Order: sequence, then C-alpha cells, then structure tokens
Amino acid sequence: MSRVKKIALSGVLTALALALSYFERFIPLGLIIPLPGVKLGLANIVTVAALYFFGPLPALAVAALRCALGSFFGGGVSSLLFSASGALLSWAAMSAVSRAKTFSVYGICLFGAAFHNIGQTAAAVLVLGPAVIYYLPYLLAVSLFTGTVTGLISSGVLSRVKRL
Amino acid sequence: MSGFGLKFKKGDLWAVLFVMALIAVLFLLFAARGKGGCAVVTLEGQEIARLPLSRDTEFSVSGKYHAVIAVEKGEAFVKDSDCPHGDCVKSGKISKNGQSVVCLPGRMTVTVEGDGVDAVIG
Repeated sequence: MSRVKKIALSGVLTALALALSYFERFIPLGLIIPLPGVKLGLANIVTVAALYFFGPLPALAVAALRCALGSFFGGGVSSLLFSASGALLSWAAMSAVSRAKTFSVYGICLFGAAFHNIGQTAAAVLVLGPAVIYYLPYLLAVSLFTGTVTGLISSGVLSRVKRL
Repeated sequence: MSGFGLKFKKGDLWAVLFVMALIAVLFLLFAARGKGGCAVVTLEGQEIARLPLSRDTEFSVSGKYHAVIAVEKGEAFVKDSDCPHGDCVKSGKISKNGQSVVCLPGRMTVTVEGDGVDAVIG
C-alpha cells in the first residue's frame, strides 16, 4: 500500500474513532456500574483495526489524534489527560502483545481495556490524589467485560472488512 | 499487517488470567485495613477537611460543583451533589481505612484514614 493511501486511511480511521467516542457518551453504562470513568471503549476498536491493518506506529497516530481532537471538540484539557494516558498505555500494551502469537484479537482487546483503566487511574492519582487507586481492582473487573465486548466487535468487523 | 488472529484462541485465556491475578493482588494489598478514624476530603488534589468518624457532622464543599459530605453513625458519604452524574452520591457509605468516594467531574475525593486528629480543619 502506498504511503499516501496509508495516511489517508489513517485519517479516516481517526474520524471514525472520534465519532465512536462521541457516540459512546449516549450509552449509559454508568447506570449499571456506578463507578466513575466507566465506559465501553468503542474507540479502542479503531486502534485495534489500525494495529491490524497498518501496524503499531499508525495505530499510535490514530489513538493520539483521536484524544487530541476529542479534547479540542469538547472535553478540554483535563479530559485529554485522562483519555490520553489511558489510550497511550492501552496502545503500548496492545502493540506489545500483538507480536506474541499467543493472543488473538480477544486477548489484545482484554489487555487494551485493562491497561486503559490502569492509565486512567494513574492520571486520576496525579489529579485527585492517591485515594483513587482503590478503584482500580473494580475498574479492572469491569475491563474483563468491556474488553470481551470490544474483542467480539473487533473480531466481527475485522474478519468482514478483510483489507483496507 | 501485523496479522494477529481474529478467532478466539486458548492463549487468550492467559489475558483473562493475567487481569484476574492483577485484581486479586490489588484486593489483597488493599484488604489489610481496619476501621478508619476520619474522612479526609480533598478538592483539586488539596486536602480541605478531616472529619472524625466518631462524631456526626455535615460538611459543605464548594468547588466547581456544590457537594455535602456527611458523617453519620461512623460512616462517611456524599449526601448531596449537583455534579452532572451524581456517581459520588450513588457510591454509598464508607468507613474502612483506604475506602474512598470519588467525584470525577467535581475533582473531589473523600477517603477514610487511620486514627485521625479529632478536629475539623477547613
């Protein structure tokens, strides 16, 4: 695939990730699980897609741009800190385990969801103080569920799209 | 293409096991805690009050949003808050060391700590 096409498609994926993270706000997961910061992580599916089709670096670009633009359109600086720390750690974990042949897209999504929560908790500890760390085991338990859901969706979508 | 598989593998169970082990370790680390002495309230990362759990009291916090923190029968909780989701109110009551209630939009935390100073600073 040509460089130009790769850049253009990364832009399309970034737009899709932005739309998904906006759409996600209308899913009231917080009503079922009353923990601050709980969400499905639909935008992470796009990071997984970029990782699958283009590899780690374009995936990083898509994830970083999604966070930057997301905070630009609504959310502000503080939301950037939370979403960026989660997205970057999640990307790092997923890129690392995607090289191992042990895991399929399900395992990758599970690691992504868990490390997203670890990154967010780290940011929350910096902003709100060390007390927040007591939420981490609960958030990780939720990530088993959200990681499986995004794994299911990623598996379904990627096996149908096949190539970009 | 990094070409990872799209079908569930047995190896994926290691990911589940990894997360579960992490949860277990964290719970064990946090479990060693007794009944706390006071509720420490922070706003924007700064401590603004210490409420002894031995005495019933109410404390108003005026940050980005307005919240009322109450201590009743040795338990602390966020009684009322005008923050967008009200997760802090739904979080319920806390009384053990290290337990906390967090209000993400309001940048406020309430944490139970060990034998606190029997005074209200604020």
